[in-house]
Amino acid sequence: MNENIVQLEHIHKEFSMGKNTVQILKDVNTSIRRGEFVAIMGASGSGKSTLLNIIGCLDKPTEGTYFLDGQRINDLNDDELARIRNRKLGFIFQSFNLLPYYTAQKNVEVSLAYQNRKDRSLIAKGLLERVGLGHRLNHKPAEMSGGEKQRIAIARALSTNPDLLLADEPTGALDSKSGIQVMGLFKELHQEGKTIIMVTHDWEIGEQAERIIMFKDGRIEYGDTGNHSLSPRWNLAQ
Amino acid sequence: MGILETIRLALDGIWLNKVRSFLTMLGIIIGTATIILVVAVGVGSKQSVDNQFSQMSVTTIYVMASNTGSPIPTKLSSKDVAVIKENCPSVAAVAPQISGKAAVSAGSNTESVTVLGVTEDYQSLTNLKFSSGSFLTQESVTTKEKIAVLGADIAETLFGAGPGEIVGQTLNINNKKFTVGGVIERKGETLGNTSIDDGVFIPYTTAQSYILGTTVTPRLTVQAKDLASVKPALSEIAAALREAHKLRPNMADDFRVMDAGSKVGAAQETARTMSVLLIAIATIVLLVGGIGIMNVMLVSVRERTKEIGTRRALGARKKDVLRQFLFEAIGISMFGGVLGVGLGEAVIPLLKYLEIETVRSMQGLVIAFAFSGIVGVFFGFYPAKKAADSNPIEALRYE
Repeated sequence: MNENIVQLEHIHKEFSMGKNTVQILKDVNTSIRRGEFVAIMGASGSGKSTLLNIIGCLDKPTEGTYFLDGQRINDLNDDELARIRNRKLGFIFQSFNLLPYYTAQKNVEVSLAYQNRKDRSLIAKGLLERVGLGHRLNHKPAEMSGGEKQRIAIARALSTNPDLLLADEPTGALDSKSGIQVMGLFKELHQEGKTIIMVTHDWEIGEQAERIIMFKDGRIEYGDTGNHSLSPRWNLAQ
Repeated sequence: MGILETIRLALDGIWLNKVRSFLTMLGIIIGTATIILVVAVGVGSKQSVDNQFSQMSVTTIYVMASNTGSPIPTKLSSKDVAVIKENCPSVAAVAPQISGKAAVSAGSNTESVTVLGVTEDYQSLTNLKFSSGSFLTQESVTTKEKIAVLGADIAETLFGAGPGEIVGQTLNINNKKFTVGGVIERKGETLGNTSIDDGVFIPYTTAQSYILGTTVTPRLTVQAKDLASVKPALSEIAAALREAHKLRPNMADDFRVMDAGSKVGAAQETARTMSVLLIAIATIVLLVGGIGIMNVMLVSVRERTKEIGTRRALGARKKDVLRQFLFEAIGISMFGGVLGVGLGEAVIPLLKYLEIETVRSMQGLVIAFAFSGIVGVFFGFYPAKKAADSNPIEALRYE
């Protein structure tokens, strides 16, 4: 088992906008250890979401190498990436991204359905109990509050027992009380040993993480020297 | 995701949008119902044409007066029987026939019936079989005997009894007393506008003298020696009659020659043309239905962009998304097909009331199902491909 679950080396990302190419990520180097709870912060447009998409195997870097759990991601084809997203990653979105016509339980089952798991209703029920929604299994998202929806989404992200949880502004659409609940859940999961990478621009939220990686103009401003070969535990030294 | 799982997902998609799915299906329902009906009517009309002509000899040729409205009065007469017999080597037999409406009564029943004056040769020329009694004899023709042979239907109408009891009974034709000499077995064959089953046959000479008069132009039934002699017979007859009628080369024929074979061909041709036309209509309806499916699926893909992005993030492969939407389109199409087949089968009995010949066939079912499936695949593929190829990042961001 690899100590660094995520290892990014010289990641560049360019988008072409008509004739111009825009550099979103410029030589990003960082690694995230197993069991870490990291907040990626920065102004909008700083490249933090693009980085999360690359880590989430939804996007590929223009240049540079990405290792997830020791596996080089760059060379994988579309189906293999889908498999990794399904087995190794759990996504939590700002706007929950629940399927509106499915009940809470069915929503949690979606990832498991792509694994043809027969025990998925059992797993889904257990996880909804765990996030405090055991009594609302058959409710649809429209009948629930934002906080409840995000807890369903967290249960869904946990359903495949992934190595890494990726959260994109998980409290961005929530009132402060629900936000606190969600963050409480994240801390619990962290204590249980889950690796969590969370993108946010909210300091109050970011500070609850173990480490903050600050982004500015497509580069890591601080949080990791990027020179992980020399000092991979830079953060611990703080 | 397994295929069964994906099919369930697609069915969910159809079910969750019941009304929209049903409206989308309508085009397919109507299309497949049309196919079922087309095939039923097509097979039915082919069968009825076959039945109608099954007993008619293809070597039979009819000679009749040219169409009414022709400038020259026809000179066609019973004398032409002899002309054809003498001058046409390809002809085996000739018989004249005159016909007209007459009041026929038996007991208290009076009917206006087509009376046909024929000679004894008519029986062999038209393959008549008898359920009782026999046909007119040469003697009855030469002696102008007042004897009548009845078609099956008219016999029943007039006497309302079994054929055995009818022979020997008397009936009145235009108030002249005739004896029934025989009843013809049911044929189902038509001669122009009259069916043999509705005809009353009396000796040619009797008809001329007592019932129809000598002014009626006869029709000649000619038998060619064999199938190969039909064509030469047609030209021989035309040449012989032009000569006999003293028509100058610049004058049009005052008679028409028609062979049964070409009549059968024409009828089959008509039936075929109708089938082709109906199939064309059904195809157009299905195409329009298919375009409807594509349209709705494209809207659905757009509406569900965020779902597609989410599913991709959660681990759906492109092919999982493709299949989900493709199966949905095929599902809509196949459901439409099933309902359409049901509708078609339900309408078939109604067509019988309109006296349209229909035959239910497996062929129709198979074609209808196959077509609806193909339409689903063909028109569902593009939207499904579009869904599968959408960029997951953009799809996730879509509101």
